[in-house]
Amino acid sequence: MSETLPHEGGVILPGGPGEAMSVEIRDGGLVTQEMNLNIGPQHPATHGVLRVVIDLDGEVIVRARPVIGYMHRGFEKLAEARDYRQIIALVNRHDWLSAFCNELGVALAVERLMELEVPERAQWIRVLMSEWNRILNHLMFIGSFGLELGAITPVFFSFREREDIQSFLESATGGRLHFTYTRVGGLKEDLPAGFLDASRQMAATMRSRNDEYRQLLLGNEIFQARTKGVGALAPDVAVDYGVTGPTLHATGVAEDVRLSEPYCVYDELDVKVPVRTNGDSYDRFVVLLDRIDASLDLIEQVHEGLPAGPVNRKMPKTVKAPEGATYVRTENPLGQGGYYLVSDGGKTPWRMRMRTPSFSNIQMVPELLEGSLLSDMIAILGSVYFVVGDVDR
Amino acid sequence: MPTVRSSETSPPATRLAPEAIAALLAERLPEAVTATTVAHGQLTVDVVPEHLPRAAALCKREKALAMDFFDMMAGVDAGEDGFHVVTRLYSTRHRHAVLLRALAEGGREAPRLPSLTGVYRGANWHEREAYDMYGIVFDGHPGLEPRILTVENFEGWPLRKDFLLTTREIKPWPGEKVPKAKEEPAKADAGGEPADEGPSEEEKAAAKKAKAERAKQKAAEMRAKKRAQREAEAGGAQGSPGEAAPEAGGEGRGGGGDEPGKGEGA
Repeated sequence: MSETLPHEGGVILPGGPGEAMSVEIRDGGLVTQEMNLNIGPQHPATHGVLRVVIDLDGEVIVRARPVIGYMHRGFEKLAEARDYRQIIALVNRHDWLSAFCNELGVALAVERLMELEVPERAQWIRVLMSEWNRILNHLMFIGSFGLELGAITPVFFSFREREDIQSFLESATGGRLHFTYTRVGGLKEDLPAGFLDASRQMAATMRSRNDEYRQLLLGNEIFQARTKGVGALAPDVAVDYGVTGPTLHATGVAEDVRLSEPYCVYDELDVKVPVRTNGDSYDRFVVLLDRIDASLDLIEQVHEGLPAGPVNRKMPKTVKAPEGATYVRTENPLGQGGYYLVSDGGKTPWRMRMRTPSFSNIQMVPELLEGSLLSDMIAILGSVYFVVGDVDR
Repeated sequence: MPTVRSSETSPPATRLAPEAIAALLAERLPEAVTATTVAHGQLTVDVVPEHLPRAAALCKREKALAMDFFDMMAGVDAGEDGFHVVTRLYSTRHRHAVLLRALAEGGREAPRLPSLTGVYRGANWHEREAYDMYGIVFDGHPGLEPRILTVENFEGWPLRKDFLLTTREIKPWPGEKVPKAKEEPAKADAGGEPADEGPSEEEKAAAKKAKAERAKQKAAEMRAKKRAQREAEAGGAQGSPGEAAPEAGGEGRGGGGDEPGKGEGA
């Protein structure tokens, strides 16, 4: 048929209602046109409001452009009008799944500028809380990633555990999502009676449950087919973009702040960083599961080594950071969090730049999407773990 | 499953001290480096703006430095001088880092800097954010518009110190003490507060008066209602039942038996 219709070029001209569509044929094939598809901002797989504008050639994504800013709440500006005590409550909120790790970063930055020594016990408890927060965060993504691929069961399992962990963290912090447990110079208060027993028990439960997740998802044929070899990221590209966290570890780069620049008492603990080498969706997910085990190891080390003593320093009523600038990084559940704090000696920061892991990770997403199939998009977006609040701040 | 353990890894011997990095940069790019400071164990290198990409490229490609990791970029309001842009580069191999600080050319009016997107792909969004927040134009950037975080038709550069936080302008500080010791925004607050305090007192007084008046009115209404009810009950026989009936209907039902009695009394 193509031989009988020699045309010189052009595009498909869709006919009106009831008319036939005229089709252009060139070089023995159909002349096609790229299609523009808008995904989001409201889409269940975007964990918030992320919009991705993609151009499609058939089923293949030619160009992808993430559009962010739908959740921009101006935290950096707000921080300049809040004192350090208030900022700790503020930074809880941009990444609602890593609240404790975020507030820890601010406290560390202020403490470094003030050259404060934090009591030993407070530092150990900070590690304990960070690791539980990491597990909480990863459970969320384990559940949601399964959900996005069509498996409903994992999310019920992971939320069952999240509930248990949240309830005993609540007994110490008073919060379920926004803990606000850190203070400049220590912690809000000591752990309540029975907390460590609950923590020990939960750690043992979590260890057995983590194997359940492995069996539930990793062995699944559909899960493997949809994730193996999908959205493979090269290590040099990842590093060039500043990608961190599980997404980076899946590419084989073991860059982890707890290893390279240990804060609190991570230098006294044996930190394990699970690494995979393929960099695809499957590896990213396996790293997530392995990180839970690694965090449980750390939690058990804290249970054994937790020293007695105060958890707080006597602080003046108003905290003023001396003039200067410093950059503090922490290993947040989703990657490296950073605070660049510039102080003019006042009660509020002159400038507080939040370097959030999701921002850099999402920036890299077009590299993974371009050239892959539209149907793989969800498996890719869901495995580059991010929180939109963390992207937009 | 491969795992990297902190007990088995140690800081690489190739890791350079901040002072060594400063010396290396100053030696290789004497025309670019204007000052180096080490504070809290961190190195900040002040760079001539036009040489910023060269300095970054050197940090990335020089074997001893090998800063392959683009960490972050932060605009900082530098008052009358304009705006600083601080870029943090990090080496995943050697585990050392540098903060490159450049003062944008053009002061506060038209701040410009050469783009780093040619050196690090990760600089793209960070530069777009600095443009969005401070209005710093990065020459050679593939596309700063549309604005990355704020809405497209947003006016002004939100993180500049002369851009006031509108919530703080409209609404006074909720606490008793306003955090001061800041320049423009705090001054505006401090200036705004007494002005706000005055009318708020007056408003309070006015609100009290209005409330008292309303209460009086209500009491008067109630009294009038009661009177009307009493009259209706008393003058049941005279009868303006059409008026009283719908109002007192519910309560009066029980009294329905009374009416004849009252009528008898009258």
